[in-house]
Amino acid sequence: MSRVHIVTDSTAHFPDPTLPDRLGVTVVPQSLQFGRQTYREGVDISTEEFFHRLPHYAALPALLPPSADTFRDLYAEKIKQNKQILSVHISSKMSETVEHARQAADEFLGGNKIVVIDSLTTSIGLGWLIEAAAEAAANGAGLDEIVRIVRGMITHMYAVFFVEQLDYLERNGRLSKSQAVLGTMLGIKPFLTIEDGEIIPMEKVRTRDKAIDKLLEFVSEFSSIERVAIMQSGQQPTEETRLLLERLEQTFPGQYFPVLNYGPGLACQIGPNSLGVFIFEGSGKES
Amino acid sequence: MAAETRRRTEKVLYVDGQGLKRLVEASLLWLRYHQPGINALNVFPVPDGDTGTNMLLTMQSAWHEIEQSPEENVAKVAQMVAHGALMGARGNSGVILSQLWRGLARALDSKLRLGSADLPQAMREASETAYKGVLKPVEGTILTVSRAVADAAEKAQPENNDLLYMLECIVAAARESVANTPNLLPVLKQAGVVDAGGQGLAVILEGMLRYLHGESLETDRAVEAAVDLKEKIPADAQVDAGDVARGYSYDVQCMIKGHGMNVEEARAKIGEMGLSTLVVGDADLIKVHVHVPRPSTVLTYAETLGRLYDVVIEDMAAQYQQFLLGRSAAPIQAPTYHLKPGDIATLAVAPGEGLTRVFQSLGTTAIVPGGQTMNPSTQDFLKLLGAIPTDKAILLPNNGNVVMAARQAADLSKKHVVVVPAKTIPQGIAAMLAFNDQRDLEANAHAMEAATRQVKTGEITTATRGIEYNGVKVEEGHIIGLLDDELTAANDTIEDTLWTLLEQMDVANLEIVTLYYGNGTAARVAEDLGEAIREKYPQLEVEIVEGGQPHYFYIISAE
Repeated sequence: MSRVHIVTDSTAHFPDPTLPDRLGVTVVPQSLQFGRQTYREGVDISTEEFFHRLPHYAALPALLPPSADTFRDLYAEKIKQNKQILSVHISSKMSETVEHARQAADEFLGGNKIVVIDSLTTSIGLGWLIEAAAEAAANGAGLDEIVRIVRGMITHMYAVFFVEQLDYLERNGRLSKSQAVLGTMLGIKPFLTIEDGEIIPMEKVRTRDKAIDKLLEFVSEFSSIERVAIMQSGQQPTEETRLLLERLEQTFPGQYFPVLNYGPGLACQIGPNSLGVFIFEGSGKES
Repeated sequence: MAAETRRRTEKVLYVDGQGLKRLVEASLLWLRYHQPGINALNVFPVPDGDTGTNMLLTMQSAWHEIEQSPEENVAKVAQMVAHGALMGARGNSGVILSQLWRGLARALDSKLRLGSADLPQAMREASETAYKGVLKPVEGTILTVSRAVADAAEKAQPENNDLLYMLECIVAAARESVANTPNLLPVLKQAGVVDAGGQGLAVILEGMLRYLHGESLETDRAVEAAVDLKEKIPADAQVDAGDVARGYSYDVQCMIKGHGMNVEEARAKIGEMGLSTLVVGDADLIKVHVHVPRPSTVLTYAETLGRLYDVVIEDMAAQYQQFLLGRSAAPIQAPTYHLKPGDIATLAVAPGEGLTRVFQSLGTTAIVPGGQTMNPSTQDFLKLLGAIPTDKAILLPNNGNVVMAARQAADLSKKHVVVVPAKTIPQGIAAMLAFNDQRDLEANAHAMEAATRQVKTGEITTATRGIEYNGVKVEEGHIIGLLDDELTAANDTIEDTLWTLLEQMDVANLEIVTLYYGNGTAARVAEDLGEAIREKYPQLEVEIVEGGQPHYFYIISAE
């Protein structure tokens, strides 16, 4: 049994949902707030339920980070078991999770090793980091070694998205109210990227075809791709996903592009109706 | 002071600084008299022809530089004129006119007086400078006329050392050259007009000749007073004036925050209360902009929907009075610049409040008011470029006739300025969408220019005269449609012209059409038309947005 215990939060998305159980990763639930109601992700509410309820609420759901107490209790328990802890979480620019984890970690003194890492990403990007960390731990790697692996991967993680619904961006301060109102009138689809952990609007387009062109253009810029995932909302592949897949497969024959549904964590950031691509280009590459 | 001689036939041997000043004043007055006629010389019968206005405003700016000057050195006065013309240059013809003055001033170098021997070289230099200022010189324009003028000066000089005689020859050559422009430029012939810019230059020279002939400036000043005031009022003010005249003199804007609000219903209700109505938003937030006789009616109703904020009430009647008193409205622009040194600023030209808001919502740093009716001057651009707290900027002229003034400003500015030559509003909006502040200036300019080519522009307006062009027969008063600045459709109604235009744009194979409705068009009418388009082209996404532009019922963007 590894001496290093890996902790993450429920915004992490795993291509294989059994991974946390299999490799002994603790997933701390984020809370989802609908108006006055709060639900713990994966405990009180499933992803399916979240998307099912979404249209019935007037207010936009918000992501509430796990409290510092939650992390303190968890860390204390693992330290009692004589574990070292690596806690990797959703970007600090999107949530206060990292801050709460650090507050908790700071209360444990010297000899107990807890490392908290700001992943500067979320969703499948965070999932890939956790997968690599947990596998390294299972293979007996030490804490420093695993930290090195994770930090090395973070700088090679990329994500771009198209957003159909502008109110989430407005709520999260990425667009002003007037931009959101007029942007909606003009049918604008902003093209977003995650840079240094922050969701940044880049250029905008107005048609679905151009949105797909942009995603394709983004993927084409990589000379090597180690991991890639198309992230969509909803449970069925949408028409946009189908078109994107078709074009990707034409451009990169033989490459497999898994299509995944993103979860509530990302939905609270960019809204439920987006389509995007996450890419990990491999740690060996110069960035 | 030879130029002070008013006798019709007496020789004029030279002109000094004050003499040139009088010549400039005379040309300005004569140009003012001819301004409406020059404005009417459009290739297409659109109501916003403004070559006369642009040349006049350019000359006016030149005149203001020398008006109070006692300078007697002709070269110094010419330099002041050139500087004033350069700063005040509006429209492509104004920019070329300013280049002519620049060349002339340069040729005079440090001369105290302009004698007959200097004139041919001065006119040649003027013409050559103007040619060099244009990327792709076209014959049958003001350029051709300027060259004919230089030729005439060269030919006249050895025969005679009298400036009066030379100017007579020059004016005759200019007239002849103007008359010949339709033979050089096929679109002019098709449209049955001479070139407006060339005509403007001929008028300027003729004004000078009139002065040398001793024809009284007083008459010209009287003519000036008689010129229709309407020509001086930008169309924005004219239309608001229309609403004001009908008693709808309050401009009311507000935001309503509520729950489950019905936007359609609010739009219909508020639409009944006023004119120039804009009601947009969703169930939680509605933005209202309307002209009403009494602000209380609309606010009382709005209060029943939800909480009000950002309420602005303006008395347009008072504003209109101010306008008539000659105090022009402050330029609409972003009040604060959220820019750091090193950021890229974007400056866009937009006519009308709605289009201004569209550009602002896309993150445009500052809006230069104008475009279709009122072309901004080189100096308008330079002032804004000076005000922004960064040294990198992209200019979007959004009108073919503003491109040269923007380029001239980019050249004169010490900052790093690139003009993305968007020639229509939809092209400008497409360019703005492609802007990405994470990219550098050149990469942005490149991506933005590429984006302008991805969009088709349609425009619908009223024909100001009859014409037959490329098989399209137009009668005065017809509703005409322009596709990418070419006349392609004419019909009796706006709707029929729109259908033809949409077909020509091939919207059946496109994804999204946006109708920007003008300030003479009611929001409801535009919405109904949008509904009709959705019915006819179910695959098409149709957006209706208030443009507020003068003269054009609709500006259509399709991609």
